[in-house]
This record gives sequence, structure tokens and C-alpha cells, in this order.
Amino acid sequence: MDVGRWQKTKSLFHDALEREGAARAAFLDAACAGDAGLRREVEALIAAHEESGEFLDAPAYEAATAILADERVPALTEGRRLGHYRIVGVVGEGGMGKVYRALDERLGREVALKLLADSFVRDADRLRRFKQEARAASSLNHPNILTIHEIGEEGERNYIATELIEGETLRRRIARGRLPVGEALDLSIQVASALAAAHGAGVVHRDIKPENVMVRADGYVKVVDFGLAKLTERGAGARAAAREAGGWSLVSTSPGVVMGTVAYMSPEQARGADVDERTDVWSLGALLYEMIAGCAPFHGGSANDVLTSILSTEPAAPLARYAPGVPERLEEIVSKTLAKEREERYQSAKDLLVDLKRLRQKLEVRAEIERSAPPEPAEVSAAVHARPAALTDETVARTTDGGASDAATRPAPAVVAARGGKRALLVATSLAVALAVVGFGLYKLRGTGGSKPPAAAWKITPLTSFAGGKADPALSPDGQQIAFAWTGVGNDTLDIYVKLIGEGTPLRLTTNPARDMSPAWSPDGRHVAFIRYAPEGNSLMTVPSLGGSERKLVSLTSTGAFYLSAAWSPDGKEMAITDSDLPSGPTSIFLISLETGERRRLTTSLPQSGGDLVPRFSPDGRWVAFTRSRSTAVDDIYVVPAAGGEPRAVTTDGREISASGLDWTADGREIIFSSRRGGLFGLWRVSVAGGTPEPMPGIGENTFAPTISRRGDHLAYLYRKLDYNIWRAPGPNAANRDAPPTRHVASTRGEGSPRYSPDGQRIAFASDRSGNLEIWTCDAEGGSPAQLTRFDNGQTGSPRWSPDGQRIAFDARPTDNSDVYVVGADGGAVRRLTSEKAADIMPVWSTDGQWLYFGSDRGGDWQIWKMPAGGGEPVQVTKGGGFGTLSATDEFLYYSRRNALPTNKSSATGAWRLPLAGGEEERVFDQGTTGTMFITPGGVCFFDPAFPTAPTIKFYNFASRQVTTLVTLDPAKSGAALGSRLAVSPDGLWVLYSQMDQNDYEIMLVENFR
Amino acid sequence: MTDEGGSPQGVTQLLERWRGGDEAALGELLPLVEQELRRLARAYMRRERADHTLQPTALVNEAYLRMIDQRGARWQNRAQFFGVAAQLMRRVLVDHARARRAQKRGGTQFSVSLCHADGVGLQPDADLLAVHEALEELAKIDPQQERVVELRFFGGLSIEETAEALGVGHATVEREWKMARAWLRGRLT
Repeated sequence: MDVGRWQKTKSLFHDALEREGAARAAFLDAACAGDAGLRREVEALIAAHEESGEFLDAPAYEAATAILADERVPALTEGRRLGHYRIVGVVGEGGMGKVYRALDERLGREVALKLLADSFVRDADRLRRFKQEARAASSLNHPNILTIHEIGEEGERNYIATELIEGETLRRRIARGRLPVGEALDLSIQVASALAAAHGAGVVHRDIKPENVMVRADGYVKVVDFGLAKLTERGAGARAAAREAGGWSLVSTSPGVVMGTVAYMSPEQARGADVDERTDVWSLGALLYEMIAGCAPFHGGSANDVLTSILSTEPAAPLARYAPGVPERLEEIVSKTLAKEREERYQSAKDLLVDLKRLRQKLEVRAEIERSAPPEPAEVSAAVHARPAALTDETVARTTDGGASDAATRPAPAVVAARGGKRALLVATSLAVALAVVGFGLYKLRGTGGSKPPAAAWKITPLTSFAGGKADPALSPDGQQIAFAWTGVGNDTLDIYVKLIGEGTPLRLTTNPARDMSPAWSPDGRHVAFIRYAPEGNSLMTVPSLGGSERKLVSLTSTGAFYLSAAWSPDGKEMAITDSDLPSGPTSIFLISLETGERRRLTTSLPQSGGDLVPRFSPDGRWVAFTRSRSTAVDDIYVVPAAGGEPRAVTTDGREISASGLDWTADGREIIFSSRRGGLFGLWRVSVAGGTPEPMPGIGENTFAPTISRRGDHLAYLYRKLDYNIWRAPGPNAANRDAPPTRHVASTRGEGSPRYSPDGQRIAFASDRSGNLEIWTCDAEGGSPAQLTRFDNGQTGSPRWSPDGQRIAFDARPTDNSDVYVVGADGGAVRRLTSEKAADIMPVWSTDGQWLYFGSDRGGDWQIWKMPAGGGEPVQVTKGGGFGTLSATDEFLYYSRRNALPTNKSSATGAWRLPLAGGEEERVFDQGTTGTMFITPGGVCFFDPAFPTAPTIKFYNFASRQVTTLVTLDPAKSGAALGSRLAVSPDGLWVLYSQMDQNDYEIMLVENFR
Repeated sequence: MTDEGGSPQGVTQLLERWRGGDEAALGELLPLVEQELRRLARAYMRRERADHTLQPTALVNEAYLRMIDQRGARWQNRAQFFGVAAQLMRRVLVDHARARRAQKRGGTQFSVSLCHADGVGLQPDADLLAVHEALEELAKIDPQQERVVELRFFGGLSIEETAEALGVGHATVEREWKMARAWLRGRLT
């Protein structure tokens, strides 16, 4: 619409609005004579006006404020990680910010996680003092003080992890209505008890208010945020702060802002004077008052009014004004806690506690007497009687309380017995309300609905906390010691260590420069066998568990670099080992007689697979369990009779199973193993008889290598904290190669497999930041990430852009089968292009975008195939073998051949190319493995592991045949898998690679496992 | 807490320069105001209690009081400042909605409802971006109407404050608002 016509429409619109009905119609008839279009527009505007109601009346302002406030500390979404915590949900909004429900993956328990706003923690000194106080209060282990597990930081975020309380704040309880005297007394007694304990330890809370008192559904009170006030308080005191803010009219323009805190402020706090424990006494008095009266003792229209009222000599109105029939004694107690002069107040929380308890006792006796008499309408007795009923209602409403989890972790000693009673009760009658005297007061205990996880009795603790890589934990038969492979703090090569459960430093058993891994205890606990990976060949060794000279048991044929292992039979007469017939072939299981040295084959692995791995004897010695690989990331657990016979599948769903270890439960009925079946690797259990594997409750993700003591009471496993990020460094065409690499695409979880779009403006990558490995894109600078796929299960990777940048092909394994998929680069529907029951991997586009080349074993062996990019029948392209495609130009298809195991060195390294017009396959490069090469027009960028000391990213120039080093990597950070995938930008100025920025291991111990 | 949002003097001068037609001054002003607003918003959110919600214009008002040298400030400065803040809010919201649209899932959930009553069945982000895009179109044919909507909807200003910011009578603002709202309503439903 041009401006002239717009102005005309505008004036007609307003003029017409001034007329009604027929007059308006007549006016428009005349004004729009001959211009039907104009008339339609004006009428449409009028119609829209008349129905516009409140349209646009709510300004977008509040949302903007939330965004402004939130940006620096973005909300954590479900599945996100912070340290070793995984966010499970939001518990609520606290004064200091959001409180999340999170899973402590290290200890397998649920916690409440509170983020501290950055402005609170900027002052390091103040933060330190806060931590001191918070820890001091928490360490009292008082049942009414919230237990703090950890005050930690991760990146820019500071957080507090505390026990998780299922309940509500006293604020919300009060909001539902005034509390009966009995209940108010009970809650106050618990708060007073917490304060008395804290004051005894020299900690003043300073900010007692209804928001800081949590009431559990069972009536338990937890006082939260001890010490937090230290962080927020200003040196000059609150009154000065209010005044300062008032100078900017903070108080007068937005009464709510300061209000929340001032109502419970003591006169000395309001004056900005020093505070002591009597300040908390005052605040508790204000709380008790509000519980019964329904409003704070001193109130007013603004924060200034409230402060004025607190500071005046005028006492609070008597409680009886709001709650007729309140006991005289309660009025006295409240007025003594709210004495304006400190000297006239209760001098300690303990004194107040004594008086409150006495009063309650008196009321209970009275209630008891009244109960046996005909009912009277007396407020007090009604209040006392009413309480259990109210609790019962809550119990009904909250039968899925998760209190069992905190019961399992750190209950105060005095409470343990009562909680044990609670569980017994739960069996008897789930809705019963029991009374038990615990420590200082009365607690109402109730059923939890019977959903106690079996892990509740487990006690999970880290066995190791020292730095350095650890692997392959193995519990001694008596469960008192653990053997493991460790690099030592100096990050040396792995050696075998033994450590007592509990205290003590690890005893080093081997010192050889070769890598020693996979320790296995002899049944008598006197020897530890292990695998030595040496340049001259791998071997099975043994060493006394108390230290001594080592002995070679047998040389191994396999040149496998990591996953070989051995197990001792329970009678100590033979060992099961993994070995192969050819140095680089897949491994099978063999039995070695320790008496004769005879070697007997127990299994024959599938050809072209990852092999049979991790043999473990059943407790009775009659069976050997092991993992069998069908192809990459497709594994199952099998058992085979130790005497020989046909292996039987225990799992049949072909999910990825870690070769780090597995073990039998002591009764021989179940196998515990580490597997990836949705999400990351975690521990699972499956019945040896078969059935559906179940996750081990409370263990968490990134857990591997389970080992169980012979008695079955101890389970140990490896917990790995892993963070891969994509880094960027100057590429082969960069003028200045000295610029240091920078972290480019990052989260607290894994990022890898980067690929630049053809125009270099975007990057596709694989990340498990959503909880599962999915395809994501971001801009060239690593910003504005967008998730393209949501399989929520299985590995997804190898993103490759179509030549026009509109689509991305990739491979994914949402079920047990790997297939090629395509998704729009901006999202949209994901389309599966292959459906054959075969592994189809690593697609790449033809330059015209019409075809997709990919690796597949559909023909029985691994070859490169191609199919129309829109889907259709694939045809085989290579004859001499092919595994992953690398790139396609107008003339050539570049690809790799298959390695038997990702870690095996074999002749299959390097890149091949096939002339697309027809011709012979030729090897153009002889280093690099499938996932670690990137073909550019001028050469190959590749990862040179130079294990284990000097990994680099190098560039091989096709024309000059020269190799130059692009990036020198930190050996501690360049892992296999995700870590070595790399990509060069289309202009050759940058290379992207994935680096393992954090890779910590802890060995975790589960006590009371059985 | 100290003031980090730039010296009051500087902000006042930038506002004056902008009033004088120096568009570059706005470019310098926006990040300063944004920084202060972010800081204040965080402070507000922290102190906020469940039973108290933030007053619509309190935030900008406080930023204004903190950032503008009160002694020399002319009354127009306040309206000017609110105009800057409204632009800023619009930018922040639109960026956020775009990021969210790109991200599809995840991110912080903010619901921006266009009216108190239910009935606009679109997604909040889509709504917001649609308003923004329609406003850009409106700006081409009627820049004053666009400013009115920006101040009212994104800045949360009343009719009177909008009139003050634009230097026009409030009857004019009322008329412009009425038509812009009808036009947008017609466009967006």
C-alpha cells in the first residue's frame, strides 16, 4: 500500500469509527464511492478493531525482563549436566534462582541443585565466608538443617548441591491459610532446634523467613540457606541498602522488590547494626506470628513503611486479634521473641525452644483431657486434633514421595531407627500416620507408597579420587581389595595397582614401560594376572598381589591394543583369554590350562566383527560369559559351557556393549554389564536365562567395567567423566599457523564429527548434549546451535552436507541396525534411505547431489555402494573392499577400507580412490584410519595418533607428497572415537577437530550390593 | 553494588546527541543501556518473591534513574530513554524468539502472550516474530504508528508516556494505537 492510500484509509477508519450503524455505512458509501477496494480495507480494519479486545495490551515486557535476567545464567534444561550432576527437572523457584532436581551420577542419588547468580559470587572473599558458614551449619548433621553435599563450580556456574526435600516452603503452607496452633508450634520447635544447633556452632542464619523453611509432607522441617545471607547482605546493613535504593526510588516504584525480606528483619538488622543469634530469634518470632495470624507482625504499604514499623517502639498487635482463643502463654512467648530491644528478647534459640516445647506439652495434655470429654468448640483443642487429619490428607495426595533417596544417603543418626520403622510401617499400612519420639520432638511418619528402589540400601562411594587414567577395576575374591590399571598421577603408561577398600594408598605391582591392563585375581587372592601390551607383542602375565616378580604365562597372537582380557576359573586350574588366530583378526575365547599350558578354543568369533571379548567365569565355573560383536556397535552377551559347546545368546537385541568388563552376580543368576541402550553407557543387568536387560538403578551414565566380589556384597565399576569439544585451528591454507587452537563448539558433553557446509557458513556436528548422540548444526563461529535429529537412542554421526547445502546425510543406529538417513539442513522430517538388515554407514554426496555413496556390508563383505539421493535401489561401487566414504569429486570417489577393530593396526589404513568414469582402485595415501582423514582438493588432513606421546593433526599434499604438521595435540586429550574426527573448511583456512577436554575416571564402590 | 552501566554523564550526552540527530549515538547507547538493564533485571529476578511480580516500567525507570545525570537532565530525556529501552527490548525478544525457533526445542521457556485473554492460537514465539515482521512492514508506510506500537508493546509504556516519548499529543497516540492495533490484528489472524 502506498503512503497516500494509507493516509486516506487511516482518516476514513477514524471518521467511520465516530459513526455507528447505518450512519457509518452511509458515510463509507459516500467516501469510498467507486473504490470497492478501499471500502473493503476500511471495513476490514473496523472489523479487526472491534474484535481486537485486549490484543497487544499485555506488553512483551515481562518476558523481555526474564530474558534479560536469564541470559548470563541460562536455565538448565532436563538432561543437561553440571559437574557430575545431571538435571532431571525443576524443583522450584527460590529466592536465589531456580532450584533443580538433579542426579548425582557419581553417587547415584538425587539432589537439589541451586545455581548461584554470578553477582553473588563475584566477591571471592565473601564467597569463601559463605562456604565456611554453609559447611559449618551443614556439618552439624542436624535433622532440621538441610544437608549440603557440595558447593562447586563448573565453568562460570557456581552451584550448591543439597539433599532433595519433597515438600513445600512454609510460604506456600501459609498461603493456604493460617496454621492451627499445634502445627505452628511443631514447626517452630523444629526451626528453633535447628537454630539452637547452628548458634552453638557459631553460625547465625540472618535470613529466617517462610521461604527458607521447607516443610516435608511428613511434617519434617528443613531450614535452608544457612550462610547464604552472608552473600547477599551489604556491608552497611539492609536499612542503608533500602535507603540507597530508595534514593533511586527503588522502594517507592516497586514495593515488592524489597518487601519480601524486610518483613522478618530484626530492628538491629533494619538499622544496619551488627547481628547476632538474637536476630534469628526475632525472625523466628515473626514466622510463628505469621503462621498463626496469617500476616507478618509488622506490615505496611511499602518496604519503608514496614521498616518504620519494625523500628518504632510500637509492639506487634496481639495474636488474639487474628486468632481468637490463642493461648495466653503463646502470646507471651511471641511478644518476648519480638521484643524490640535485644536485651529483652529470648537470649538464645535454646531458651525459646524450651518454652515452645513446654507449651506444646501443656496443650497436648489439655487436648488429651478434652478428647475424653464431650467436644467443645475451643480453638486450641480443635487445632491440635486437626493436625493428624491434615497430615493424612497430604499423605494421600503425595504417595509418590521420593524421600527414600535422602533416607538412603545421609540421615542423622538419631533418625535412622525411625526411618527404618517407617519402612516397616509402609509394608503394614501405607496410609498410616505413626507417632515416634525422635531426639527432640514429635514427628509424623508415613508410608511412601511402596516404591522404594532396590538400590535404596546401596551405599555408593568413590574408591579412588586421585588424578590419572584408570581402567579395569577388579575386586578381589574376598571383596577387600581392588586391582586396577592406572597411569599414576604423572600420567605414565598404565600399570597394575592394588588398593585396600577404604583407606590406604595403592600398591604398585608393575613398572614396565609397556601398558599393563585387565587385572584378574586368582581365586585364592594371591596372584593377579594381567595383559601386557608391548611393542614386541602382547602377553598374559601374572604377579603376586602383594608385589613381587612377574611371570609371563603365555604370548598372545592378537595385536589388539586395548580390549584383551583374561579370567581365572574358580578352581584356579585354567584361565579364559581373548586371542585371535591372525594378529589383526577378530578375537575369540580360548582356555589355557595353567597346569599343562594347553590351549583350547572355546568360541569362534564372527568374521569381520569386533570379536568375542571379556570372558568371565560363572561363580560355579561351569559357564563362561562373553560379549560377541556382530559389527560396529552391535553386540550381545553370550554364555558358553566351560567344557565346550555351543554359545547361547543372553541378550539378543544387538545394542552396543562395552568391552571394558562384565561380571556375574554371586548367585550366578544375572550378568551385570555396561551398555549403551538409549543415552550413554551405563550399567545394566540381565538374567542369564535371558530376558530384557534392566538398567541398574542409581548408578548413572558413563559407567563401565562392573566387577563383583565373590560374596556378592560389593560391586565396583568405573565412572568416567568425559567432555569432548570441537576445537578450531589454522588449516592447510592458513597464512599464519601459529595462532593457537580455540575451543569452538562446546558443551559439557560431547561434540564431534564436525563438517563445514559447502559455503563454509555452517557446521554440522554430532553431539550428545541432549542426552543422546544426535546431529546438530551451528554457525561457522560455533553459535546458534540447532538440533536436527531426535532419535533419543543409539549413535548418530557422520553428517555430510549436500552440495547445495540444503540437506545433510548421516548414519544412525536408533535400533540395532545402522542405516543412512537424510534431513533438511534447517530441520524437518528425517528420512531413512536404507532399510536392509545390514550396516550402512558414512554417506557422501556426489557432486551433482544426485547420488549418495556409502559403506555397507550388505553384500557379505564391506564395500562402497551408491544409491539415488532420493532413495532407491543401491548398487555396489567398489570390488576390492571399502568401508567409509571420505569424499567425492567430479572424477574420483575417495574412501577407506575396513579395520577389523578400531584399535587394530592393520594394512587397512589409508585412503583409496576410484575413478568414477571407470578404472582401477588405487591407494593414494597410506596413513590415517577411516574416521580420522579428511580429503581436501589438495591433499589429506589426518590425525596421527603417534601413540602415546605426540599426537598431531597433519596435512599430506598430493602434489608435493610433503607432510606438514597443522596442530600438535595434548596427548592427554586426544582420544580415539569422537576425538579424532576432523574437518577442513572449504577455503582451507581452518581445521576443526574434536578434543577430549576432560577425561577423569573414578572407581566407584557399591556396598550392600546384594 | 556499584554502577557498571557507563557513567551517567556519558549516557546523558549520548541521549542529547541522539536527540540532535546523531544516529551513531544510538549505536553507542544501546549496549550501555542493555548492560544496565540486564544487570538490573538479574537483580530484580533474584529479589523477586513468588507473591510479587515486577512492575512493568520499574526496570527501565530504575535504569533511567541510575544512568542519567539527574541534575542536568531535561524532562524529555526520560521519554527518550524509554524509547531506547523499547527498541532494545524488541531486539532482545526477537533475537530470543528467533534463536528458539531455530532451536525448536530446549532453551528457556518464555511465554509471550499477546493479550490477556486466550484465543490467539499461535505459538508465542511465532506471534512475537509475526508482530515484529508486520511492524517492519508498517514502518515503511507509517513510521509513527510503528513507534507507537514499539513503545506500547515492547516498551510497556502507557498512552501518556508514549506521547511524551514521541513528543505528540496523547489523542494522536490513541488514534495511532487504535489503528495500528486493528491493522496488526487483521494481519496476524
